[in-house]
Amino acid sequence: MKAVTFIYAIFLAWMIGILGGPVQSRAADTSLPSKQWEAPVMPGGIVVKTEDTAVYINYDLPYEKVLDWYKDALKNYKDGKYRDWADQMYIEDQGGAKWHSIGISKGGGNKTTVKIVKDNMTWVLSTLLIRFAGVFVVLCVLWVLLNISGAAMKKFFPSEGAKARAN
Amino acid sequence: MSWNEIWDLFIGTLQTTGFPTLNWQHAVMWAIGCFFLYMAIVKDFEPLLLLPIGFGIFLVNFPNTPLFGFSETGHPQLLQFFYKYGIIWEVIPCLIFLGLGAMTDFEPLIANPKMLLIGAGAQLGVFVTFTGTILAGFTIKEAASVGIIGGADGPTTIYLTAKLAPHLLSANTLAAYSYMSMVPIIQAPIMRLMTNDKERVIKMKVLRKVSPTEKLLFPLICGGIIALLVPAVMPLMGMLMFGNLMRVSGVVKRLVDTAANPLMDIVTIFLGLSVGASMQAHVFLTYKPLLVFGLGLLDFVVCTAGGILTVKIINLIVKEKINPLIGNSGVSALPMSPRLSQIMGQRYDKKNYLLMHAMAACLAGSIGSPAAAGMLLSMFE
Repeated sequence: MKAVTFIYAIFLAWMIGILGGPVQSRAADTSLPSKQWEAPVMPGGIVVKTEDTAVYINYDLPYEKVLDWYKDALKNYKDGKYRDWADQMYIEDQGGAKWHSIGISKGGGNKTTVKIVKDNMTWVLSTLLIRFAGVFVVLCVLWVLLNISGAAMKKFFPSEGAKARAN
Repeated sequence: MSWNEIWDLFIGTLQTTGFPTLNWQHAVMWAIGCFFLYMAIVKDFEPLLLLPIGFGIFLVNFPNTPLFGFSETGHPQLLQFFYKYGIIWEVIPCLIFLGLGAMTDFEPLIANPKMLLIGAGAQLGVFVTFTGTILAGFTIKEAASVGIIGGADGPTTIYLTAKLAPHLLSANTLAAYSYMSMVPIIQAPIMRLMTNDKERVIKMKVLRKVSPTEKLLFPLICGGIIALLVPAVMPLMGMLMFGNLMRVSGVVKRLVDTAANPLMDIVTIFLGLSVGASMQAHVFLTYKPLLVFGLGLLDFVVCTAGGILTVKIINLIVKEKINPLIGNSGVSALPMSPRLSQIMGQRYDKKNYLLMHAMAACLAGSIGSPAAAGMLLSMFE
Protein backbone atom coordinates (compact mmCIF):
# COMPACT_ATOMS: atom_id res chain seq x y z
CA MET A 1 0.00 0.00 0.00
CA LYS A 2 2.91 2.31 0.76
CA ALA A 3 4.24 1.67 -2.73
CA VAL A 4 0.88 2.62 -4.24
CA THR A 5 0.76 5.81 -2.19
CA PHE A 6 4.33 6.59 -3.28
CA ILE A 7 3.50 6.10 -6.97
CA TYR A 8 0.34 8.17 -6.56
CA ALA A 9 2.40 10.96 -4.96
CA ILE A 10 4.91 10.90 -7.83
CA PHE A 11 2.03 11.00 -10.31
CA LEU A 12 0.51 14.00 -8.55
CA ALA A 13 3.87 15.77 -8.34
CA TRP A 14 4.42 15.15 -12.06
CA MET A 15 1.02 16.58 -12.90
CA ILE A 16 1.55 19.62 -10.69
CA GLY A 17 4.95 20.10 -12.31
CA ILE A 18 3.41 20.05 -15.76
CA LEU A 19 0.42 22.18 -14.90
CA GLY A 20 2.28 24.74 -12.86
CA GLY A 21 5.53 24.82 -14.82
CA PRO A 22 6.86 28.17 -16.04
CA VAL A 23 6.14 29.22 -19.60
CA GLN A 24 9.29 30.10 -21.45
CA SER A 25 8.92 33.02 -23.79
CA ARG A 26 11.39 34.10 -26.41
CA ALA A 27 11.91 37.25 -28.40
CA ALA A 28 9.82 37.52 -31.54
CA ASP A 29 11.11 35.75 -34.61
CA THR A 30 9.82 37.55 -37.68
CA SER A 31 10.34 34.73 -40.20
CA LEU A 32 7.04 33.06 -41.06
CA PRO A 33 7.00 29.36 -41.88
CA SER A 34 4.24 27.89 -44.07
CA LYS A 35 3.39 25.42 -41.31
CA GLN A 36 3.76 25.50 -37.57
CA TRP A 37 3.48 22.10 -35.81
CA GLU A 38 1.76 20.95 -39.01
CA ALA A 39 -0.87 23.69 -38.70
CA PRO A 40 -1.25 25.95 -41.74
CA VAL A 41 0.14 29.44 -41.31
CA MET A 42 -1.43 32.25 -43.30
CA PRO A 43 1.24 34.20 -45.20
CA GLY A 44 1.67 37.94 -44.78
CA GLY A 45 1.84 38.09 -41.00
CA ILE A 46 4.51 38.93 -38.47
CA VAL A 47 5.45 36.59 -35.66
CA VAL A 48 5.24 38.73 -32.54
CA LYS A 49 5.85 36.18 -29.83
CA THR A 50 6.99 32.57 -29.59
CA GLU A 51 6.76 30.25 -26.65
CA ASP A 52 7.63 26.58 -26.32
CA THR A 53 4.03 25.65 -26.96
CA ALA A 54 2.55 28.66 -28.76
CA VAL A 55 3.19 31.14 -31.56
CA TYR A 56 1.46 34.51 -31.96
CA ILE A 57 1.19 36.04 -35.44
CA ASN A 58 -0.21 39.47 -36.24
CA TYR A 59 -1.94 40.33 -39.51
CA ASP A 60 -3.00 43.70 -40.90
CA LEU A 61 -6.26 42.13 -42.01
CA PRO A 62 -9.79 41.99 -40.62
CA TYR A 63 -10.91 38.90 -38.69
CA GLU A 64 -13.21 37.66 -41.48
CA LYS A 65 -10.42 37.53 -44.06
CA VAL A 66 -8.12 35.56 -41.77
CA LEU A 67 -10.94 33.20 -40.79
CA ASP A 68 -11.84 32.62 -44.45
CA TRP A 69 -8.24 31.74 -45.22
CA TYR A 70 -8.05 29.24 -42.35
CA LYS A 71 -11.42 27.70 -43.26
CA ASP A 72 -10.14 27.17 -46.78
CA ALA A 73 -6.78 25.82 -45.58
CA LEU A 74 -8.50 23.36 -43.24
CA LYS A 75 -11.40 22.41 -45.49
CA ASN A 76 -10.06 18.88 -45.99
CA TYR A 77 -9.20 18.41 -42.34
CA LYS A 78 -12.15 16.64 -40.74
CA ASP A 79 -10.91 16.67 -37.15
CA GLY A 80 -10.93 20.45 -36.72
CA LYS A 81 -13.69 21.70 -34.41
CA TYR A 82 -14.72 25.37 -34.70
CA ARG A 83 -15.77 27.05 -31.47
CA ASP A 84 -17.13 30.55 -31.95
CA TRP A 85 -16.24 32.39 -28.74
CA ALA A 86 -16.86 36.05 -27.95
CA ASP A 87 -13.21 37.09 -28.24
CA GLN A 88 -11.95 34.61 -30.82
CA MET A 89 -12.70 31.78 -33.20
CA TYR A 90 -11.09 28.77 -31.58
CA ILE A 91 -10.24 25.93 -33.95
CA GLU A 92 -9.46 22.82 -31.94
CA ASP A 93 -7.76 19.73 -33.28
CA GLN A 94 -9.61 16.58 -32.27
CA GLY A 95 -7.47 14.31 -34.39
CA GLY A 96 -3.84 13.30 -34.19
CA ALA A 97 -2.18 16.50 -35.47
CA LYS A 98 0.82 18.06 -33.76
CA TRP A 99 -1.04 21.33 -33.18
CA HIS A 100 -3.72 21.65 -30.55
CA SER A 101 -5.54 24.83 -31.51
CA ILE A 102 -5.61 27.89 -33.72
CA GLY A 103 -7.17 30.97 -32.13
CA ILE A 104 -8.17 33.87 -34.38
CA SER A 105 -8.83 37.04 -32.40
CA LYS A 106 -11.98 39.11 -32.94
CA GLY A 107 -12.78 42.76 -32.57
CA GLY A 108 -9.41 44.19 -33.57
CA GLY A 109 -10.64 46.00 -36.67
CA ASN A 110 -7.98 45.61 -39.33
CA LYS A 111 -5.60 43.92 -36.90
CA THR A 112 -5.98 40.21 -36.19
CA THR A 113 -3.83 37.98 -34.03
CA VAL A 114 -3.57 34.26 -34.66
CA LYS A 115 -2.36 32.06 -31.86
CA ILE A 116 -1.23 28.56 -32.79
CA VAL A 117 -0.84 26.20 -29.85
CA LYS A 118 1.20 23.01 -29.98
CA ASP A 119 -0.36 19.73 -28.86
CA ASN A 120 0.55 19.44 -25.21
CA MET A 121 0.00 17.25 -22.21
CA THR A 122 -0.96 20.24 -20.07
CA TRP A 123 -4.22 20.51 -21.94
CA VAL A 124 -4.82 16.76 -21.81
CA LEU A 125 -4.14 16.52 -18.08
CA SER A 126 -6.03 19.63 -17.08
CA THR A 127 -9.11 18.70 -19.08
CA LEU A 128 -9.01 15.24 -17.56
CA LEU A 129 -8.70 16.56 -14.02
CA ILE A 130 -11.68 18.82 -14.63
CA ARG A 131 -13.75 16.02 -16.13
CA PHE A 132 -12.83 13.52 -13.42
CA ALA A 133 -13.86 16.11 -10.86
CA GLY A 134 -17.01 16.59 -12.93
CA VAL A 135 -17.99 12.94 -12.44
CA PHE A 136 -17.66 13.48 -8.69
CA VAL A 137 -19.78 16.61 -8.88
CA VAL A 138 -22.56 14.77 -10.78
CA LEU A 139 -22.64 11.88 -8.32
CA CYS A 140 -22.27 14.16 -5.28
CA VAL A 141 -25.29 16.21 -6.38
CA LEU A 142 -27.21 12.96 -6.74
CA TRP A 143 -26.01 11.87 -3.29
CA VAL A 144 -27.20 15.11 -1.71
CA LEU A 145 -30.59 14.88 -3.41
CA LEU A 146 -31.05 11.25 -2.42
CA ASN A 147 -30.27 12.17 1.17
CA ILE A 148 -32.76 15.01 1.03
CA SER A 149 -35.47 12.84 -0.50
CA GLY A 150 -34.76 10.11 2.07
CA ALA A 151 -35.02 12.59 4.94
CA ALA A 152 -38.17 14.12 3.48
CA MET A 153 -39.78 10.72 3.14
CA LYS A 154 -38.98 9.96 6.76
CA LYS A 155 -40.42 13.25 7.93
CA PHE A 156 -43.52 13.57 5.79
CA PHE A 157 -44.44 9.91 5.26
CA PRO A 158 -43.28 8.11 8.43
CA SER A 159 -45.91 5.42 7.94
CA GLU A 160 -44.36 4.41 4.60
CA GLY A 161 -40.98 3.93 6.24
CA ALA A 162 -42.51 1.71 8.88
CA LYS A 163 -44.32 -0.26 6.19
CA ALA A 164 -41.07 -0.75 4.26
CA ARG A 165 -39.31 -1.94 7.43
CA ALA A 166 -42.14 -4.35 8.14
CA ASN A 167 -41.83 -5.79 4.63
CA MET B 1 -18.13 -25.48 -77.67
CA SER B 2 -14.31 -25.44 -77.72
CA TRP B 3 -12.01 -26.32 -74.82
CA ASN B 4 -11.06 -22.66 -74.57
CA GLU B 5 -14.68 -21.67 -74.07
CA ILE B 6 -15.16 -24.37 -71.43
CA TRP B 7 -12.00 -23.18 -69.68
CA ASP B 8 -13.18 -19.55 -69.76
CA LEU B 9 -16.54 -20.62 -68.37
CA PHE B 10 -14.79 -22.52 -65.59
CA ILE B 11 -12.53 -19.56 -64.77
CA GLY B 12 -15.52 -17.21 -64.88
CA THR B 13 -17.41 -19.41 -62.44
CA LEU B 14 -14.35 -19.65 -60.20
CA GLN B 15 -14.08 -15.87 -60.13
CA THR B 16 -17.54 -15.62 -58.55
CA THR B 17 -16.47 -17.84 -55.62
CA GLY B 18 -14.42 -16.68 -52.69
CA PHE B 19 -11.30 -18.68 -53.56
CA PRO B 20 -9.40 -16.23 -55.78
CA THR B 21 -9.32 -13.51 -53.12
CA LEU B 22 -8.76 -15.65 -50.03
CA ASN B 23 -5.70 -14.69 -48.01
CA TRP B 24 -4.02 -15.48 -44.70
CA GLN B 25 -5.82 -12.66 -42.91
CA HIS B 26 -9.15 -14.37 -43.49
CA ALA B 27 -7.75 -17.54 -41.94
CA VAL B 28 -6.58 -15.59 -38.87
CA MET B 29 -10.05 -14.12 -38.44
CA TRP B 30 -11.69 -17.57 -38.77
CA ALA B 31 -9.40 -18.75 -36.00
CA ILE B 32 -10.41 -15.77 -33.84
CA GLY B 33 -14.10 -16.38 -34.57
CA CYS B 34 -13.77 -20.08 -33.73
CA PHE B 35 -11.92 -19.17 -30.53
CA PHE B 36 -14.87 -17.08 -29.41
CA LEU B 37 -17.27 -19.87 -30.34
CA TYR B 38 -15.13 -22.30 -28.34
CA MET B 39 -15.09 -19.99 -25.31
CA ALA B 40 -18.88 -19.55 -25.53
CA ILE B 41 -19.90 -23.16 -26.20
CA VAL B 42 -17.27 -25.21 -24.41
CA LYS B 43 -16.16 -22.88 -21.62
CA ASP B 44 -19.56 -21.18 -21.10
CA PHE B 45 -17.74 -17.83 -21.08
CA GLU B 46 -20.28 -15.00 -21.70
CA PRO B 47 -22.10 -17.22 -24.25
CA LEU B 48 -24.96 -14.80 -24.83
CA LEU B 49 -22.55 -12.36 -26.37
CA LEU B 50 -19.53 -14.36 -27.48
CA LEU B 51 -21.55 -16.84 -29.54
CA PRO B 52 -23.14 -14.27 -31.86
CA ILE B 53 -19.88 -12.26 -31.95
CA GLY B 54 -17.86 -15.35 -32.84
CA PHE B 55 -20.24 -16.37 -35.59
CA GLY B 56 -20.43 -12.80 -36.88
CA ILE B 57 -16.61 -12.75 -37.19
CA PHE B 58 -16.69 -16.10 -38.96
CA LEU B 59 -19.40 -15.06 -41.43
CA VAL B 60 -17.97 -11.77 -42.64
CA ASN B 61 -14.42 -12.97 -43.12
CA PHE B 62 -15.11 -14.81 -46.32
CA PRO B 63 -14.47 -12.86 -49.51
CA ASN B 64 -17.41 -11.76 -51.67
CA THR B 65 -20.06 -12.47 -49.04
CA PRO B 66 -22.83 -9.86 -49.39
CA LEU B 67 -23.24 -9.41 -45.64
CA PHE B 68 -21.45 -6.34 -44.36
CA GLY B 69 -21.17 -4.06 -47.35
CA PHE B 70 -23.60 -2.09 -49.46
CA SER B 71 -25.50 -3.34 -52.49
CA GLU B 72 -24.97 -1.84 -55.95
CA THR B 73 -28.01 0.34 -55.32
CA GLY B 74 -26.46 1.59 -52.08
CA HIS B 75 -28.62 -0.37 -49.65
CA PRO B 76 -26.92 -1.83 -46.59
CA GLN B 77 -26.51 -5.60 -46.67
CA LEU B 78 -27.99 -7.72 -43.87
CA LEU B 79 -25.39 -7.37 -41.11
CA GLN B 80 -24.49 -3.85 -42.24
CA PHE B 81 -28.17 -3.04 -41.76
CA PHE B 82 -28.09 -4.23 -38.13
CA TYR B 83 -24.79 -2.42 -37.60
CA LYS B 84 -25.86 0.84 -39.19
CA TYR B 85 -29.26 1.19 -37.61
CA GLY B 86 -28.50 -0.64 -34.38
CA ILE B 87 -25.04 0.57 -33.44
CA ILE B 88 -24.04 3.56 -35.56
CA TRP B 89 -27.45 5.07 -34.86
CA GLU B 90 -26.90 4.13 -31.18
CA VAL B 91 -30.21 2.34 -30.82
CA ILE B 92 -28.99 -0.98 -29.39
CA PRO B 93 -26.94 0.33 -26.42
CA CYS B 94 -29.90 2.46 -25.37
CA LEU B 95 -32.31 -0.47 -25.62
CA ILE B 96 -29.92 -2.56 -23.52
CA PHE B 97 -30.00 0.19 -20.90
CA LEU B 98 -33.80 0.09 -21.02
CA GLY B 99 -33.69 -3.64 -20.29
CA LEU B 100 -31.09 -3.16 -17.56
CA GLY B 101 -33.25 -0.50 -15.93
CA ALA B 102 -36.20 -2.87 -15.97
CA MET B 103 -34.09 -5.59 -14.34
CA THR B 104 -32.27 -3.49 -11.73
CA ASP B 105 -33.33 -2.82 -8.18
CA PHE B 106 -31.57 0.35 -7.03
CA GLU B 107 -32.61 -0.19 -3.38
CA PRO B 108 -29.06 -0.79 -2.02
CA LEU B 109 -27.88 2.47 -3.56
CA ILE B 110 -30.89 4.49 -2.39
CA ALA B 111 -30.40 3.11 1.11
CA ASN B 112 -26.73 4.12 1.13
CA PRO B 113 -26.16 6.94 -1.38
CA LYS B 114 -22.64 7.48 0.01
CA MET B 115 -21.65 4.65 -2.30
CA LEU B 116 -22.04 7.03 -5.24
CA LEU B 117 -18.59 8.36 -4.37
CA ILE B 118 -17.09 4.93 -4.96
CA GLY B 119 -18.78 4.84 -8.35
CA ALA B 120 -17.15 8.17 -9.16
CA GLY B 121 -13.72 7.21 -7.80
CA ALA B 122 -13.70 4.04 -9.84
CA GLN B 123 -13.73 6.12 -13.01
CA LEU B 124 -10.10 7.10 -12.29
CA GLY B 125 -8.83 4.57 -14.83
CA VAL B 126 -11.00 6.05 -17.56
CA PHE B 127 -9.12 9.31 -17.31
CA VAL B 128 -5.65 7.87 -16.63
CA THR B 129 -5.95 5.54 -19.62
CA PHE B 130 -7.11 8.41 -21.79
CA THR B 131 -3.72 10.04 -21.21
CA GLY B 132 -1.82 6.78 -21.75
CA THR B 133 -3.71 6.10 -24.94
CA ILE B 134 -2.82 9.52 -26.37
CA LEU B 135 0.83 8.85 -25.51
CA ALA B 136 0.53 5.54 -27.39
CA GLY B 137 -0.29 7.48 -30.55
CA PHE B 138 -4.08 7.36 -30.63
CA THR B 139 -6.18 10.40 -31.52
CA ILE B 140 -8.16 12.18 -28.79
CA LYS B 141 -11.43 10.62 -29.92
CA GLU B 142 -9.91 7.15 -30.01
CA ALA B 143 -8.36 7.71 -26.58
CA ALA B 144 -11.74 8.69 -25.12
CA SER B 145 -13.37 5.57 -26.54
CA VAL B 146 -10.60 3.31 -25.20
CA GLY B 147 -10.63 5.03 -21.81
CA ILE B 148 -14.23 4.12 -21.12
CA ILE B 149 -13.44 0.38 -21.26
CA GLY B 150 -12.29 0.51 -17.62
CA GLY B 151 -15.79 1.40 -16.47
CA ALA B 152 -16.66 -2.22 -17.40
CA ASP B 153 -19.89 -1.04 -18.91
CA GLY B 154 -20.46 -2.71 -22.27
CA PRO B 155 -23.35 -0.61 -23.61
CA THR B 156 -21.66 2.65 -22.58
CA THR B 157 -18.44 1.55 -24.30
CA ILE B 158 -20.40 0.76 -27.47
CA TYR B 159 -22.31 4.02 -27.29
CA LEU B 160 -19.20 6.16 -26.88
CA THR B 161 -17.09 4.24 -29.40
CA ALA B 162 -19.82 4.31 -32.05
CA LYS B 163 -19.92 8.08 -31.66
CA LEU B 164 -16.19 8.79 -31.49
CA ALA B 165 -14.19 5.98 -33.08
CA PRO B 166 -16.41 3.45 -34.88
CA HIS B 167 -13.38 1.70 -36.38
CA LEU B 168 -12.41 0.58 -32.85
CA LEU B 169 -15.88 -0.68 -32.00
CA SER B 170 -15.15 -4.38 -32.20
CA ALA B 171 -11.89 -4.14 -30.27
CA ASN B 172 -13.35 -1.91 -27.55
CA THR B 173 -16.49 -4.00 -27.14
CA LEU B 174 -14.55 -7.23 -26.93
CA ALA B 175 -12.07 -5.75 -24.47
CA ALA B 176 -14.89 -4.37 -22.27
CA TYR B 177 -16.82 -7.65 -22.13
CA SER B 178 -13.67 -9.76 -21.81
CA TYR B 179 -12.39 -7.86 -18.80
CA MET B 180 -15.84 -7.94 -17.21
CA SER B 181 -15.72 -11.72 -17.43
CA MET B 182 -12.22 -11.80 -15.97
CA VAL B 183 -13.16 -9.89 -12.83
CA PRO B 184 -11.95 -12.56 -10.37
CA ILE B 185 -8.60 -12.89 -12.13
CA ILE B 186 -7.93 -9.16 -12.50
CA GLN B 187 -9.54 -7.64 -9.42
CA ALA B 188 -8.73 -10.15 -6.66
CA PRO B 189 -4.93 -9.55 -6.61
CA ILE B 190 -5.45 -5.76 -6.59
CA MET B 191 -7.89 -6.07 -3.70
CA ARG B 192 -5.39 -8.14 -1.74
CA LEU B 193 -2.54 -5.78 -2.55
CA MET B 194 -4.39 -2.64 -1.51
CA THR B 195 -5.99 -3.79 1.74
CA ASN B 196 -4.69 -5.06 5.05
CA ASP B 197 -6.15 -7.69 7.40
CA LYS B 198 -7.72 -5.07 9.65
CA GLU B 199 -9.55 -3.41 6.77
CA ARG B 200 -10.77 -6.68 5.27
CA VAL B 201 -12.82 -7.55 8.36
CA ILE B 202 -14.61 -4.23 8.68
CA LYS B 203 -18.29 -4.97 9.22
CA MET B 204 -20.85 -2.65 7.68
CA LYS B 205 -24.31 -1.86 9.03
CA VAL B 206 -27.28 -3.67 7.52
CA LEU B 207 -28.90 -1.40 4.93
CA ARG B 208 -32.15 0.31 5.83
CA LYS B 209 -35.36 -0.56 4.03
CA VAL B 210 -36.37 1.81 1.28
CA SER B 211 -39.97 2.90 0.87
CA PRO B 212 -41.76 2.44 -2.49
CA THR B 213 -42.10 6.21 -2.91
CA GLU B 214 -38.33 6.67 -2.58
CA LYS B 215 -37.83 4.01 -5.23
CA LEU B 216 -40.32 5.82 -7.43
CA LEU B 217 -38.55 9.14 -6.93
CA PHE B 218 -35.10 7.73 -7.75
CA PRO B 219 -35.43 7.50 -11.56
CA LEU B 220 -36.93 11.00 -11.63
CA ILE B 221 -34.18 12.53 -9.47
CA CYS B 222 -31.34 10.66 -11.13
CA GLY B 223 -32.70 11.24 -14.63
CA GLY B 224 -33.19 14.93 -13.91
CA ILE B 225 -29.69 15.41 -12.50
CA ILE B 226 -27.99 13.63 -15.37
CA ALA B 227 -30.11 15.54 -17.90
CA LEU B 228 -29.02 18.82 -16.37
CA LEU B 229 -25.35 18.07 -15.75
CA VAL B 230 -24.33 15.64 -18.51
CA PRO B 231 -27.04 15.83 -21.16
CA ALA B 232 -24.78 14.07 -23.68
CA VAL B 233 -25.55 10.66 -22.14
CA MET B 234 -29.28 11.11 -21.71
CA PRO B 235 -30.11 8.61 -24.46
CA LEU B 236 -28.48 5.96 -22.25
CA MET B 237 -29.47 7.23 -18.83
CA GLY B 238 -32.95 8.22 -19.94
CA MET B 239 -33.62 4.67 -21.06
CA LEU B 240 -32.09 3.20 -17.89
CA MET B 241 -34.26 5.40 -15.72
CA PHE B 242 -37.36 4.76 -17.84
CA GLY B 243 -36.85 1.01 -17.53
CA ASN B 244 -36.44 1.41 -13.79
CA LEU B 245 -39.49 3.63 -13.47
CA MET B 246 -41.58 0.98 -15.25
CA ARG B 247 -40.26 -1.57 -12.79
CA VAL B 248 -40.84 0.36 -9.58
CA SER B 249 -44.20 1.76 -10.66
CA GLY B 250 -45.62 -1.75 -10.55
CA VAL B 251 -48.38 -0.88 -13.00
CA VAL B 252 -46.82 -2.06 -16.29
CA LYS B 253 -45.66 -5.58 -15.49
CA ARG B 254 -46.08 -6.70 -19.11
CA LEU B 255 -43.84 -3.91 -20.38
CA VAL B 256 -41.24 -4.64 -17.71
CA ASP B 257 -41.26 -8.30 -18.67
CA THR B 258 -40.87 -7.44 -22.35
CA ALA B 259 -38.05 -4.94 -21.77
CA ALA B 260 -36.17 -7.24 -19.42
CA ASN B 261 -36.53 -10.47 -21.38
CA PRO B 262 -37.61 -10.69 -25.06
CA LEU B 263 -36.44 -7.21 -26.04
CA MET B 264 -33.12 -7.70 -24.26
CA ASP B 265 -32.63 -11.04 -26.04
CA ILE B 266 -33.44 -9.57 -29.45
CA VAL B 267 -31.04 -6.64 -29.11
CA THR B 268 -28.34 -8.96 -27.73
CA ILE B 269 -28.56 -11.08 -30.90
CA PHE B 270 -28.29 -8.02 -33.15
CA LEU B 271 -25.56 -6.50 -31.01
CA GLY B 272 -23.41 -9.63 -31.01
CA LEU B 273 -23.77 -10.27 -34.74
CA SER B 274 -23.12 -6.63 -35.64
CA VAL B 275 -20.05 -6.32 -33.43
CA GLY B 276 -18.68 -9.60 -34.76
CA ALA B 277 -19.38 -8.51 -38.33
CA SER B 278 -17.47 -5.29 -37.80
CA MET B 279 -14.33 -7.37 -37.15
CA GLN B 280 -13.28 -7.70 -40.74
CA ALA B 281 -9.65 -8.69 -41.28
CA HIS B 282 -8.54 -5.44 -42.88
CA VAL B 283 -10.01 -3.43 -39.98
CA PHE B 284 -9.11 -5.67 -37.06
CA LEU B 285 -5.64 -6.90 -37.94
CA THR B 286 -3.86 -3.61 -37.34
CA TYR B 287 -1.82 -2.48 -34.36
CA LYS B 288 -4.47 -0.22 -32.82
CA PRO B 289 -7.12 -2.86 -32.00
CA LEU B 290 -4.38 -5.06 -30.56
CA LEU B 291 -3.10 -2.20 -28.39
CA VAL B 292 -6.66 -1.60 -27.17
CA PHE B 293 -6.57 -4.90 -25.28
CA GLY B 294 -3.41 -3.90 -23.41
CA LEU B 295 -4.64 -0.41 -22.62
CA GLY B 296 -8.07 -1.73 -21.65
CA LEU B 297 -6.47 -4.04 -19.09
CA LEU B 298 -4.48 -1.16 -17.58
CA ASP B 299 -7.70 0.84 -17.51
CA PHE B 300 -9.60 -1.86 -15.66
CA VAL B 301 -6.79 -2.24 -13.13
CA VAL B 302 -6.65 1.51 -12.42
CA CYS B 303 -10.45 1.73 -12.15
CA THR B 304 -10.43 -1.07 -9.58
CA ALA B 305 -7.62 0.63 -7.66
CA GLY B 306 -9.50 3.95 -7.91
CA GLY B 307 -12.57 2.44 -6.26
CA ILE B 308 -10.54 0.97 -3.39
CA LEU B 309 -8.54 4.20 -2.91
CA THR B 310 -11.80 6.15 -2.76
CA VAL B 311 -13.08 3.90 0.05
CA LYS B 312 -9.84 4.45 1.95
CA ILE B 313 -10.13 8.22 1.55
CA ILE B 314 -13.79 8.13 2.70
CA ASN B 315 -12.71 6.07 5.72
CA LEU B 316 -10.36 8.87 6.75
CA ILE B 317 -13.36 11.16 7.10
CA VAL B 318 -16.39 9.13 8.21
CA LYS B 319 -17.07 7.42 11.53
CA GLU B 320 -18.80 4.35 10.13
CA LYS B 321 -16.01 2.70 8.18
CA ILE B 322 -16.54 1.08 4.80
CA ASN B 323 -14.90 -2.24 3.99
CA PRO B 324 -12.44 -1.44 1.13
CA LEU B 325 -13.13 -4.87 -0.35
CA ILE B 326 -16.24 -3.34 -1.90
CA GLY B 327 -14.18 -0.67 -3.68
CA ASN B 328 -13.63 -2.95 -6.68
CA SER B 329 -17.39 -2.94 -7.27
CA GLY B 330 -17.26 0.72 -8.23
CA VAL B 331 -16.75 -0.50 -11.79
CA SER B 332 -20.11 -1.56 -13.12
CA ALA B 333 -19.32 -5.24 -13.71
CA LEU B 334 -22.62 -6.56 -12.39
CA PRO B 335 -22.88 -9.12 -10.79
CA MET B 336 -19.27 -10.33 -10.98
CA SER B 337 -17.61 -7.59 -8.91
CA PRO B 338 -20.09 -7.60 -5.97
CA ARG B 339 -19.90 -11.38 -5.92
CA LEU B 340 -16.11 -11.16 -5.68
CA SER B 341 -16.37 -8.62 -2.83
CA GLN B 342 -18.65 -11.01 -0.95
CA ILE B 343 -16.37 -14.02 -1.49
CA MET B 344 -13.24 -12.10 -0.51
CA GLY B 345 -14.97 -10.64 2.56
CA GLN B 346 -16.12 -14.06 3.75
CA ARG B 347 -12.65 -15.50 3.25
CA TYR B 348 -11.45 -13.26 6.09
CA ASP B 349 -14.61 -13.32 8.21
CA LYS B 350 -17.30 -15.90 7.59
CA LYS B 351 -19.96 -13.71 9.18
CA ASN B 352 -19.26 -10.65 7.07
CA TYR B 353 -21.92 -9.99 4.43
CA LEU B 354 -20.74 -7.40 1.94
CA LEU B 355 -22.90 -8.33 -1.03
CA MET B 356 -25.58 -5.65 -0.75
CA HIS B 357 -23.03 -2.92 0.01
CA ALA B 358 -20.99 -4.01 -2.98
CA MET B 359 -24.16 -4.04 -5.06
CA ALA B 360 -24.72 -0.41 -4.06
CA ALA B 361 -21.19 0.49 -5.17
CA CYS B 362 -21.72 -1.38 -8.44
CA LEU B 363 -25.00 0.43 -9.11
CA ALA B 364 -23.17 3.68 -8.42
CA GLY B 365 -20.62 2.59 -11.02
CA SER B 366 -23.41 1.98 -13.50
CA ILE B 367 -24.32 5.66 -13.12
CA GLY B 368 -20.69 6.85 -12.81
CA SER B 369 -19.61 5.18 -16.02
CA PRO B 370 -22.18 6.94 -18.26
CA ALA B 371 -21.41 10.16 -16.37
CA ALA B 372 -17.73 9.73 -17.30
CA ALA B 373 -18.76 8.97 -20.87
CA GLY B 374 -20.82 12.16 -20.88
CA MET B 375 -17.82 14.13 -19.64
CA LEU B 376 -15.69 12.71 -22.45
CA LEU B 377 -18.40 13.31 -25.04
CA SER B 378 -18.78 16.92 -23.97
CA MET B 379 -15.15 17.48 -25.01
CA PHE B 380 -16.20 17.10 -28.61
CA GLU B 381 -19.38 19.16 -28.58
